[in-house]
Amino acid sequence: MATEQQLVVQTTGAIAAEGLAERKKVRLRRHHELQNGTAYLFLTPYLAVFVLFVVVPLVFGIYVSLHNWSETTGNGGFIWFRNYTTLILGRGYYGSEFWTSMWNTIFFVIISVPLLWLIPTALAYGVYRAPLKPLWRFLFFYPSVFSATAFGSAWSLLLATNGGSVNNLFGLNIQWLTGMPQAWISIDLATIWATMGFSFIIMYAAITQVPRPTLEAAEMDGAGAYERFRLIILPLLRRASVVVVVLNTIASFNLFAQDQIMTNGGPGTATTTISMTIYQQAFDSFNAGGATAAAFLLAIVLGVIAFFQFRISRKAV
Amino acid sequence: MQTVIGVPAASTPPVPARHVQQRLRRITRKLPVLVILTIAGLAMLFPVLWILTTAFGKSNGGLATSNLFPSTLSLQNFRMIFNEQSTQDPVLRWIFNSVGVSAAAAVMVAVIDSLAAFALARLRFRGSKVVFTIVVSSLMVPFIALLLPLYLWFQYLGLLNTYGALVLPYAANAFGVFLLYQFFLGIPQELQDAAIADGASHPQVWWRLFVPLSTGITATLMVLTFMNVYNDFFWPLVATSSPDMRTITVGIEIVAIGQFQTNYTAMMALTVVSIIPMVIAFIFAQRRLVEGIAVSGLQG
Amino acid sequence: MRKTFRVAAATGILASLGGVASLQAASASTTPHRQHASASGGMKITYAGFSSMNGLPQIIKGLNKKYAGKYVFQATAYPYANYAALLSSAISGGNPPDIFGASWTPSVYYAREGLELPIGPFVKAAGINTAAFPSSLWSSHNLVKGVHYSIPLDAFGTALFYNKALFKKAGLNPNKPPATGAQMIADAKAMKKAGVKYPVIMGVDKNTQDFLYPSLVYQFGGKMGKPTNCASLFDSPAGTKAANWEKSLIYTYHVAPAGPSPNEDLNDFGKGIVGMVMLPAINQGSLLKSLGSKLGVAPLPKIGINTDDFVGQQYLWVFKTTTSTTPAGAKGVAIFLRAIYNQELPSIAKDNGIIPAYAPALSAVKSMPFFAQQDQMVKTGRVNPAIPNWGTVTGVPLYNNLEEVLLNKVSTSAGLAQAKNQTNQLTQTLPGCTQ
Repeated sequence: MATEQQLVVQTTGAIAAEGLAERKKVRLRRHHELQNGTAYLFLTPYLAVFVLFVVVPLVFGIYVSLHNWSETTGNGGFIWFRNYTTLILGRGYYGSEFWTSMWNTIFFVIISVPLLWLIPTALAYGVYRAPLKPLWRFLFFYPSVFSATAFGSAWSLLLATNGGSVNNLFGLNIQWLTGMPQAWISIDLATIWATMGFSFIIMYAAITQVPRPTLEAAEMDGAGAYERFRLIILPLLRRASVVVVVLNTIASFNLFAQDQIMTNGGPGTATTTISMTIYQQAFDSFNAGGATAAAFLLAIVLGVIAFFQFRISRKAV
Repeated sequence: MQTVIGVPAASTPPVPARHVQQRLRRITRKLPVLVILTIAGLAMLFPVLWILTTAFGKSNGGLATSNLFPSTLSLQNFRMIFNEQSTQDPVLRWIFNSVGVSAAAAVMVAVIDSLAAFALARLRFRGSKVVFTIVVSSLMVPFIALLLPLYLWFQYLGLLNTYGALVLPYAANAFGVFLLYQFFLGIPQELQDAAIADGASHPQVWWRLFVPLSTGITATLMVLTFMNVYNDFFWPLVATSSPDMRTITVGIEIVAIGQFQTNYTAMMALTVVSIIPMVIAFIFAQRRLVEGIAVSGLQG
Repeated sequence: MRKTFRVAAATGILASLGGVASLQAASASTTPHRQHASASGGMKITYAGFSSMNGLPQIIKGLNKKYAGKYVFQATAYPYANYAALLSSAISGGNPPDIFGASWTPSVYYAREGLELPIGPFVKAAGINTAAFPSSLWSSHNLVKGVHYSIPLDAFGTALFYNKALFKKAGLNPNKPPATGAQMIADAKAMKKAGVKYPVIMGVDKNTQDFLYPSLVYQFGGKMGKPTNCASLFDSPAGTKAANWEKSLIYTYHVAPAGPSPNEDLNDFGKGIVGMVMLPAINQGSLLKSLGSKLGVAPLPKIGINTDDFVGQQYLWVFKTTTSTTPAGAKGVAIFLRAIYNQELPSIAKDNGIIPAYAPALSAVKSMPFFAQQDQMVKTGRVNPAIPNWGTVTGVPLYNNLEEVLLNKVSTSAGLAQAKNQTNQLTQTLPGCTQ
């Protein structure tokens, strides 16, 4: 508080002595100093809802994960980290399912995240260069309006092995949903179809921000569309790409509904994801403790991956 | 556009013909892009064709017997879902609930996140890194971990089966903070400095400078939040219990997903009805979505 | 300013800790904040169940009119795919519905956990005659801790659905469906010869195998599991024969295509391009609407050594709640049960196209198409063993492995062995399942 008062005294003195220009300088100087009060005032609404609706359930979740907790019979006692070690060591049904589904999920993330960046970015650049922009924007964004239940069902029937429209239309006999790796391809396809709109809009918004003069100058120098994209636009999309990649990583790790509807985790358990396992453990087997522990382990995996994504994105300037 | 580079001067035709040729060349140059976009666009339409065919086809006992193109058109399925509405499945009420809840959540998120993102991106304060890390880390927590604790918490608060329960958990939207934060970082410091030097307070800087500059990205955030909340399933499922408090996504599952059979025709008819508010929202927001961004946004 | 931050942080931590403490209280307490009285001043009696009960809203409306001021009846539909999540959260919050309707093995779980009330007193108060339940659905194998905890509402067997038009096309008698496994294969071969692309679709999905596989295991003289310790018994010779017969349709006799996607059997049969499928009889209603007079329904052929089939079911049970444990609340529950069984069950069964599990209601559905076949399937069939959640949660490993067997990814013996191990791992955590 003392420093604050000193600052006020100093500034009032300064204002009296100097003119308008100096006053501006002082304002700026103050501006560039710490603004704890103002900042937390701005943050108050967010922090309030954050504490109420994220921190409270989260702390409770951690509490549950350290207990032998069942939805039906309640708290069965504090067991330290046994829920975590059971999962990590792959003990029991859910222990082995945890690892199977975790690897499945990681595999899905590895194939889907690059595509979920590449395809929307390419399409966004295409739309940026094409006429009829509103039409394309609508076409590439509208699948986002469908719920996972709706589009999952639609895709599962389009991709039916016998009598499905895709096989019928192209005269194929591919086991889209019951063969491997087709099952993953199908889920990936449906996921890209349905969730691409978000990434497309963000990448498109970012591309429209690239200064036109720079692009035109490059074109004058004879740079082709691809070169212009790679050399000028792409570096300027870094921040938007971070948003798209990080959020798609998180979304892909949480893959659930379309997978459940399209393959129900099959064939066998080949497309069972970690969210599906956690859900089963929590609500079908009434093991809230183990399920919450699995969810936090997933959060840790996600955190590590996101950390590296941030690091790489910072280095790749 | 400078498209004449490399064209030999000698072969330059008379002025009108040259115009035609130039336009032609411009179109042919765009042709590959147009072809790719058309193929991609058709691929995007493919499933929706099936959805529409199923919704506007015959009810067939709810089985998915339709092909890609309709053999007969009928409103049977729509009549059925709205007939049932009078007794046990209030479809219009569900849509009303969903629209109201999603719109409320979108507005809340836009205001709360914009304020928070401004502080994090443009103010220097003690703990800013900690707060930012916490906000972004909270993105990593799978919702499934919070489902049961949230349920018990809302029961304790006495808010289960209310609109409050349907809106409040979406208010703390870390994704929005992250998105706006990235955007605000891209707004030139000089603009902020100029406003401050002219005597604007921080709330004024936020309201007069950052809010107008971010209308595009905020609209995007609002549309995305609206759609997320509209399509959310698990939370409205456990948070509501009476038929008139359900949202449309939960309603669709109740009507369409049975133990031994999925009623695809009812599901697709309900889906077609349920997306109307979102399609309208998107069409109105479309210009704002991507073009309202005035200054350098997410680039760099 | 630092002080402000500290205060804010402290408040946050306190709030979250306070939240935890109170949440614990809420979930541990057996008397949660629950309103007994509603606006109209009656005691609230709640029912929840799968969303398939068509006539229920009318029953509720009638009851609320009749008992205005005394009771308020409320019914909630739980979407089937997520009923466990809803019920788990409700129980966890100390607030389950008073009456619940679902398949029968979940009731075994809740009964063994001590969360249900014995159904006997309610049945008596409601004036329901238990002698009128078929023995397939109400007998000693439905006892938990020596008492009945749930009563059957309706049931449906595993049926052979066949397409009469395709039978005719193959020169077969459309009114003479196959009665044995060998005859079924012969008919399928005849159809294949006549150019029918899919004589049979052997659904590899859980929904189909839930019904077909146990049916075949029973037919071959086997058992699915042991109620006393929840051990799985399907890896017996009978279980192997059952899986091998299913597999033979695809890979030996080539009358069923390999790798159909989930739910394809039902949908493709509804399109009229499939000769025969074996599915829960409850699908009859929709198939009648899509196929009309082309639809044929028959009991499952005798594939093994006995005639037998698995019966899908809906049971009702009463949770221990702050309402149902009071005399007035118990009376309200009995009023609801009486209304269902003695007044409305015929119309519910008719609306849903299923066989009511209560003899007095049977006469109302006798005009239903294929009533005789349906009735026979229920009377000769069997429900799951009294193992908690058998066929629902504990069925998951079996059907996952069976899927791989039917896709020819693993051998029958390896698949069933793994299924047994995983099922036993899963059931070990269930009440009364120490092995």
